[in-house]
Amino acid sequence: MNKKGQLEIGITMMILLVFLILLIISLIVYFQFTYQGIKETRQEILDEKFSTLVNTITGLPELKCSTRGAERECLDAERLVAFGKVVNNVANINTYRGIKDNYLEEFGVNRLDVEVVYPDVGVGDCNQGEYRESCENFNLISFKNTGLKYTTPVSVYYPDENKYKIGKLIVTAEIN
Amino acid sequence: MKRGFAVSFSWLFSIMAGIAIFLFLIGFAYKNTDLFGTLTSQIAVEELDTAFSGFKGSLVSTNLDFGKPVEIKLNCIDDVGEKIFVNNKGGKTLKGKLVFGPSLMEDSEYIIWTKDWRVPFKVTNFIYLIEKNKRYEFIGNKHDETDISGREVFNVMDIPEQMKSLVSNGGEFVDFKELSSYGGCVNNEKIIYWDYDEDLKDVHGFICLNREEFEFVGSAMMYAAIFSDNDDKYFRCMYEIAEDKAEIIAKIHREKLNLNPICGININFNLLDVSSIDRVNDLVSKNDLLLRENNCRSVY
Repeated sequence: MNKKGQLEIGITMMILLVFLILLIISLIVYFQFTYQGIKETRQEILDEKFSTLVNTITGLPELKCSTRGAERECLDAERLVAFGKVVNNVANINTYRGIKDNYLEEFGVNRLDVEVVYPDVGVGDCNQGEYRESCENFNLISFKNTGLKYTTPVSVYYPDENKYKIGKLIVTAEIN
Repeated sequence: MKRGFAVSFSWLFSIMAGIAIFLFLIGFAYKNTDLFGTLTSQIAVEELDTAFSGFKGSLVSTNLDFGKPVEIKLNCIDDVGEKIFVNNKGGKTLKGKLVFGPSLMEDSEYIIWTKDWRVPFKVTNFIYLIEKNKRYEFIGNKHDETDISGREVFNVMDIPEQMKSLVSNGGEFVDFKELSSYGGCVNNEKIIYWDYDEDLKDVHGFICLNREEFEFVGSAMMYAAIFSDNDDKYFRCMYEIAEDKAEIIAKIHREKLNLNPICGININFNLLDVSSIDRVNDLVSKNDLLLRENNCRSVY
């Protein structure tokens, strides 16, 4: 009887141990699948977010080419400079409810740039000097330089030369 | 005694296993049925926000079918800003997205329509969110009792067919009156005093919402008033944001103009009053003049 009781306790302990091992294994497998699912969902959300953001930015009337109100699928180099000036002008910080903060919040980005890649236009910041000469980078808005970068090709129109150049829109955003 | 211990141990094991299985089932049910609706509301509001972001840059007219009645609330809260709520749970700030509609809606299907607001340069796309089963009845006339009925206001402008179905008898009253009869917003009704400007090829006038006056230019703003509630703080909030946005874009155009001092036409983007038809027409003519006479590019 004593031995039978000990045997039953041993069996129960073994079952409990096996059950716990199976539970832990299944939890690990379950959470691995869940984690994988979350990673995939995150990637999908990021892709969707950036894709929508790029579409939104390239469609902004602040930046888009237009003649007498008729829009074209390109970014106006003069407006890129003008936008950078208005957004980064210290005098505008307190007016219009803080233009820069509004745009940063609206886009949810750390930094926005348009870089001209072809033809080769030299190096330099177009906001600092004469944009028509050797500059390749239009910085539209800047808060931080770090974050995930997402780029897309854009057509940049130089109205004074009536020329189009190939550029890329670079969106730098935090990974949340 | 030992036998009793063995029995207790079996019970303990059964209870533990039972609790584990029970918790798993509860968790599974919660995830898959979203018993409290919070997850669905949050997903719906996120999807709406993503859709609105896309609609800012494109002109669309589309239906949104939730499959079951969903309550959508548009709200403008001091210090927080404009927000959208689904089933009073999911809340999302509509930063930079000008979404117009009644403050409180409940329907299983919604119509989303966008229209660009031009004063005369494009400012942004207005997004209209309306219950599919909502109806508006246009009353009042532009010229006289038998001439142009309110229904024909829609025919003047480019409006998708599905929107025309929103106009029928027995709906919410929207009173249209001729602009020349405007003498201030004296009663509590929603009245739109409007006229069609041949030069601008768009409408302008005054919107009266519960005795509050809003001067407007552009059919986009007129539609915004049509779909908004009469006693609506939300409309005022959106109207102010739209005006701020127009000012920012005017400032960008002025900076662009400064890049080309050789084009010496004095276009005054500084003192822009986007609601004044005279100012808007002045901008149109000067922008055209840049192209015609000075061998310059147009500003917008």
